[in-house]
Amino acid sequence: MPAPATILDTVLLKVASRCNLNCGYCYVYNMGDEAWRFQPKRMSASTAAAVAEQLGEIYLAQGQPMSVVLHGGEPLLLGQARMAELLAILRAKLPHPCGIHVQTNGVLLTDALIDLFVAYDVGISVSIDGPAHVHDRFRNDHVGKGSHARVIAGIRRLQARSDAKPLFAGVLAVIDPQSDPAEVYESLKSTGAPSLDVLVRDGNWDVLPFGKATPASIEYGRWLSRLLEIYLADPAPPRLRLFDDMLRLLLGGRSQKEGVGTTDYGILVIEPDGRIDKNDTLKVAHANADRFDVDLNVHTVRIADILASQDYDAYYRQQRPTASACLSCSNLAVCGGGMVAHRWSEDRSYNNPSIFCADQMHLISRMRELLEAADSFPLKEVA
Amino acid sequence: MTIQPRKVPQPIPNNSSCIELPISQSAALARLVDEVRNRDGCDAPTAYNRTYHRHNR
Repeated sequence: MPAPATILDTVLLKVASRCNLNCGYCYVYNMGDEAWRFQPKRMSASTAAAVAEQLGEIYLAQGQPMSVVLHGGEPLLLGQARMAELLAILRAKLPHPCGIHVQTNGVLLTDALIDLFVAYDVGISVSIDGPAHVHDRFRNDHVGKGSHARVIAGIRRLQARSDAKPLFAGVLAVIDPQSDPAEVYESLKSTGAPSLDVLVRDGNWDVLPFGKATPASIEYGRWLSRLLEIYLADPAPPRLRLFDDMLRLLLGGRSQKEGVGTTDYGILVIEPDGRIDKNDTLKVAHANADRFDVDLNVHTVRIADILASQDYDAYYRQQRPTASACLSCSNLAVCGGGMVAHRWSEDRSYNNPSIFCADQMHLISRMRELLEAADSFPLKEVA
Repeated sequence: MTIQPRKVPQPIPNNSSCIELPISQSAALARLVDEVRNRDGCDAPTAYNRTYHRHNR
């Protein structure tokens, strides 16, 4: 079996480089990286075939399943015909238990596309930030019109299909720390999604995240702690991925998503033209932070060779925090040092705690308090 | 293992419309404890099923 550092776990397939929305906080378009301008609008059939061929070979060679996430931009801009071709070839090369997922804003979700997702067993996650007045503050289209009503219509279309019910994976919300967590929770739960997840707004030590006054302030920590209390008090809760991962670690279990805990994952991004990049969230650090040292493309390079390269190894190891404050912290096993991009500063590169360190400390402290109060749930010592 | 004195479960203050539960009756927490104790420390569905992928977006 290959070494863990060379196992490809998740491939983000950027099937469309443009988006029908223009969310104010988007890390792809509105954080200084302009690389999308030089990409074709959609992934071609020949690129899709090259990607599927190579991923299929890696799956067989590594003996462990991988997950492909259709992403963008807005992946549904690929269109129905090209989506059908893409899913057919991907699923042929990546049978179960490999996962195929789509992360969409939901606006373009049609019955014809849902038919395809049912046929190829594609999990669907929809981005929505909460009630209309929260969501529409930032998730607008290119003429500034809020998208909430159209997103809800897409979700309702999905829910109206009994055959698609198992595919509705969840909803994903970006936090507005000035919003009411209770209102957001109830709104997200009311979508009927089986799983919720929340993301902090992006930032780093040089560009503070929206709503965060100083590195030491805990606006997000307070917001998340309140959401945690609401979640744990809900007698019929959906899943809440971030909290489930963190609480599972505190209870002695394992986490499942990147940016939580200390498990490293092999994640690559493939752009519409076939270019192979590092995790796209690195764009949050600085322009081109997600690029390898040399241009790599599925049409000219074997992905398996990239996985065995020193450049990839350095990128993989970058997930591990290096700041002395992290390495001596009792919460490291839970926060894992946070997302790599959130550690960035011009002066010290990634050798910092997360810019959300104080928020994470506040949240984990609240988790520990609540677990200790629940005497039937012994708290696992993690360090 | 050190035996900790029993603590009185505290209700979680909640101004949402969700019904309040004491933490010891938390459905979300009970679900996670069951997974960790009985399902190898992790929810049975893996990152490769329909529900989860790892990418944090």
